[in-house]
Amino acid sequence: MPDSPVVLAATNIRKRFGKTPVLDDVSIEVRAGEVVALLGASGSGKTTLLRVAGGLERPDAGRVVLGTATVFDNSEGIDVPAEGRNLGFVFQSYALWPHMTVAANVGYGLRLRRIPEVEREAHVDRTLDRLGLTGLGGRYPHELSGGQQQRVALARALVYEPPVILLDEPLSNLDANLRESARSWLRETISTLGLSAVFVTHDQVEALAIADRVVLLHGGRVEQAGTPTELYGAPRTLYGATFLGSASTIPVSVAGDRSAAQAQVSAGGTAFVASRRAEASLGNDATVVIRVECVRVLDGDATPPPGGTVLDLVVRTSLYLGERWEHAFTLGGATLRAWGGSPLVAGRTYRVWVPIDGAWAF
Amino acid sequence: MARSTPTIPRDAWRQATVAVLATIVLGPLLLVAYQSLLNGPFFLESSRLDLGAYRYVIGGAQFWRAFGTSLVVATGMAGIAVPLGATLAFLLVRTDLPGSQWIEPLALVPIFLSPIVVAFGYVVAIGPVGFISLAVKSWIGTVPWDLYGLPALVAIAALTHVPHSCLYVATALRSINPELEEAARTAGAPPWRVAIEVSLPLARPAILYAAALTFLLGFELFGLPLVLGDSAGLLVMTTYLFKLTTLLGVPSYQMMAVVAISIVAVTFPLVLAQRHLLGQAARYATIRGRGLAPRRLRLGAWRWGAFAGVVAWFAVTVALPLGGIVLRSVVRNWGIGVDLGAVLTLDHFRALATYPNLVRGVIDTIAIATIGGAASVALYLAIGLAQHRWTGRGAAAIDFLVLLPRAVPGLIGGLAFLWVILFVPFLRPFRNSLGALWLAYTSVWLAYGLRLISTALLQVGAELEESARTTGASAARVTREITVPLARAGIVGSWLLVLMMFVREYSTGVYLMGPGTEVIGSLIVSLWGAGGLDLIAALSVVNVVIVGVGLSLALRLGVRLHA
Ligand SMILES: Nc1ncnc2c1ncn2[C@@H]1O[C@H](COP(=O)(O)OP(=O)(O)O)[C@@H](O)[C@H]1O
Ligand SMILES: [Mg+2]
Repeated sequence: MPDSPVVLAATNIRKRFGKTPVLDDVSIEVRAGEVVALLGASGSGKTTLLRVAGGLERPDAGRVVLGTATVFDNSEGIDVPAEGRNLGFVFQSYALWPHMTVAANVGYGLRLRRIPEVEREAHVDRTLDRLGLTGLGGRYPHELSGGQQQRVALARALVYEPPVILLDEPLSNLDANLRESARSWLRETISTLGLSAVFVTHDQVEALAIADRVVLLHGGRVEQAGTPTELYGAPRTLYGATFLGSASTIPVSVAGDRSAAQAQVSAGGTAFVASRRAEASLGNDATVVIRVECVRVLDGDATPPPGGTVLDLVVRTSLYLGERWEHAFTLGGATLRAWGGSPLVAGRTYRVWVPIDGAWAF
Repeated sequence: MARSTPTIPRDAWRQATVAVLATIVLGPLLLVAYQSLLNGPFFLESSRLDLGAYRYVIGGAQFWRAFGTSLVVATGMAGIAVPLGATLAFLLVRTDLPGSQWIEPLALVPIFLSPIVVAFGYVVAIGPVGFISLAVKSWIGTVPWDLYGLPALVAIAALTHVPHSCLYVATALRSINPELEEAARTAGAPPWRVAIEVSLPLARPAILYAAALTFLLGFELFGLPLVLGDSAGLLVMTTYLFKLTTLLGVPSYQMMAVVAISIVAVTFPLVLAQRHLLGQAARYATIRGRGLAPRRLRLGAWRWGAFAGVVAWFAVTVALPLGGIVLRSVVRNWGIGVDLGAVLTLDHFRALATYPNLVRGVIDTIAIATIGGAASVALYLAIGLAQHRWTGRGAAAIDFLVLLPRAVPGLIGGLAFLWVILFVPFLRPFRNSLGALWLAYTSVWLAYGLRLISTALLQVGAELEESARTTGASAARVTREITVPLARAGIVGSWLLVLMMFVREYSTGVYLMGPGTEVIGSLIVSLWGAGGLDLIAALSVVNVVIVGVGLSLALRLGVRLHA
């Protein structure tokens, strides 16, 4: 995929609503056959960026290119309206037209493209079949379940085979248990149909599971872009490290460098070794982020694995989460969380192992 | 920064709509303003710029007396109608008032009745020789009230404008998240404290808006003071304008223009204030809750008392005048001791059919309301679509332009259009055509109609339109295939409401009336001057019947009765 042609590129997009900048010099790129997730907290500008790409929002500056055609460039005065961009767009609310049947909803894009009726009907039926909507063409949107509506919305967006489809939180309107099956269904459908897609989500699990590449947005800027494993396993910023996964955030003072890659830190007198993640050098005070799944509580006097620091910490509470327990230890003034298979006794001191490459200092 | 983008052609027709709108709205008003600065009629070569008319009118005691009366009427009206309307709204929306589903649509009836008809109804019911007055007189020997005076005028104006306040406050009360009230209940507040300390403050912007609206309507009042103030010599601003020619002995264009401009100078700031208040009301209404409707407050012992109060209001405001008209239209004469059976007759309706101008008036009223109303709604729809989801500078211009007609009472609107028709050579042949009247109606009801239309259009979710755009539909096709079909019910409803307003209308046609442009409302105004009570009664009944048909159709179709 890295060498497939670029189907959508939005570069240096700026957009403000009134005085507040919502997108601040954001660039994204989608290659053929690739699924890109726009991930970020609510209000980070994901929807706005998607709407800019789709021609529904006019950016203040920047450039949008689809394939080889520039569809927006404010320095050249180009602004192709939404209907001229030939994209597929799936709205968060699905936005199915209530006065049209499912078949008419799905076939509308073909009608606009003047596909003859016979061919159109066959094509609509084929698309409905592919998306598991066989036989529902004659129904009206309100006669469908949420999951079916979501499929119709997708069918409507891809029936005229746009080079890219844009999806705004496609799963957020589904019930929690339906969402999990819809997640893998969506990933499968996108890859079997060989689609290129950008989808917006605030759910990190969704982004990591479905996307080939994830763009993390924060306050209208790109915090980090990369493969799901890069984003999860090697966050470059403190925000990225805390946004993804489940982690403890510990304020520390930096005692000194161990090497270019490691630092000796101390949280309220408890010293341990962390790996340096920030590009800038650490000051006297830093923040260490420790993923919960990296921390281990050692049994009795078991030998710790190499490459970590063993700390003697007091446990405050153990929470039962169903498949595991979550323990909260006091580390300096902060809380270090760890998972385990059995409850610990509150107030007792345990030996806790913190790996160097799992403790990220920013 | 000059940019050439493909969005410009899309905006071209929108700009054109703004231009048309500006011409219709500003043209007549500018002509009136210009006329007010002349020393003679605008169509005479010899007229010169001169402030004499202002000096004369504003220096006159009668102008200030009329202004004072208008002020008293408007203030009294707002002072009475708003508290009553808010109470009625609270009773209907938040309490277990018996039959509230029935009362609610009935309570709106006064909005659709022609004030001139209602005023006439009061005259024949409780005027000096009205049915009820005579009955009371034969019983206790005297009539203990005087219909022709300021107190009666204020009271009747207030009672007939209760529904306006009720509507806005009811809407606001419905949009309050019930959880806000429930939270107060669980915190320990008894229901009446919740009403006073939570619900009413939340509805306050709506109440203030209703007060500003009622005050404005009080200033624009014409039919009620024309009929009820007449014999007492009571003049308000509009009736002062109407009587100006009689008062001066000669038609004086510049004086009329000055009075018209003075009225607009008062009403326009009121419209601006209203707009500001509406913005605030909208901010409060966004706290809409999704939960079930809140449990209604139990009135307990007060339940039937409240019911009786509402029924009494309805009896005095609707049943009394309408009953009076209907009865008056079927009796030959009336007096103490007259036997009803002996004087019953349909002669007045038969007589109606023998006057060609009255027959034309009825037919024209129906035509202008149905066909003309549809044409007006089509125009409002065009403007509404131009403004719909448009954030350009022109959209703000439309916003401003539609405010102006709200500040122009129908009487002045009609006068201004008459002058425009006389002023513009190619319009002169239309002087005596319904087209001229239609244009005036369309302009006077522009703000009302546009509000209905934009409400209907905004019911269509933005994403439904955007998804058609991303699917490849041009803006025009989105309008045709998505927006308009989805807003259809709202558009039909707007037509029915505009239809009723056009049937109800009486003041806009007053100056425009001539052979070929008679409508029921303005015929009643001119018959009132001439004293043809039998015919007025028959015409009023016809008018009420047409409104009734429109109203029941609207209710049958489930049209929301407010903009
Ligand atoms: N039409 C608009 N007018 C004003 N502010 C807007 C508009 N659309 C979005 N915003 C603001 O822009 C920011 C980003 O919005 P959005 O792109 O919808 O975020 P996300 O989809 O990441 O939650 C938010 O603070 C939002 O309030
Ligand atoms: Mg969003």
